[in-house]
Amino acid sequence: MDLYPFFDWLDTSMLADISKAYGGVFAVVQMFHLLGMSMLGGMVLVGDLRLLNVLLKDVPSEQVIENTQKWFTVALIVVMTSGIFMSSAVAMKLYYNQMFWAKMTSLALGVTFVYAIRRPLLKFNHDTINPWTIKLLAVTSISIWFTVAASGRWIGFS
Amino acid sequence: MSKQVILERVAIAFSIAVICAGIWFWGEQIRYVLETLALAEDY
Repeated sequence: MDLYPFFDWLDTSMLADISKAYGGVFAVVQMFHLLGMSMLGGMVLVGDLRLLNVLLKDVPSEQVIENTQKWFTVALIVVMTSGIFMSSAVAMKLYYNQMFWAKMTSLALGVTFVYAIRRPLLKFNHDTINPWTIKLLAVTSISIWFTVAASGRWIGFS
Repeated sequence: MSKQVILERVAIAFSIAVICAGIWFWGEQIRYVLETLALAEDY
C-alpha cells in the first residue's frame, strides 16, 4: 500500500499551512509532544520495571499496571495527535526518510502489542501467569518503546 | 484451551519475533555507524 497520496495531501493541508507559517504554534505542539513522550516513557518504565520486580515491590503489580495503563493511553493520544500536526510541516521529507518508517513500524507494533496482547493478558491475576512470560512481556515492551523513541530521535540525524 | 493460555502463547511468540527483529534492526544501524566512522577515518 503506497501512502504517498496521504503524505502529498498532508503536505498541502491546512495543518501544514499552520505548522509552516506559525513557528510559535509548532513549538507549543512540540512541547506537548515531548511532554506526552516523557509521560508515555514513564508509564512504560514504571509498569514494566514493576513486572520485572525492580521497583514498587510492595505494591501489587495488578494495581501498578492498572494505573499506568490509564495514563499510557492519555499519553499515546497526546503524542499521536501532536505528532500528526508536527509531521505535516515536513510530510514529504518524512515520506522518504527510512528512520521515520522504522519509527512508524515500531509504533504500530507497540500499539498492537499493548492493546491486543499485554493489556488483555495482564487483566488476569498475575500469580496465575507464568513469571517468565511476565518478564518477557516487560522486556519486549521496553524494547519496542525504546525503538520508537530512539528511531524518532534518529530521524533528525538521517 | 483457555483465553489466558492462548494469550500467553501469543505473547511469547510475538515477543520472540519482536526481539529478534529488534536485534537485527539495531545491528544494522550499529554496522552502518561503524562503517561511516571507518570511512571518515580514511579521509
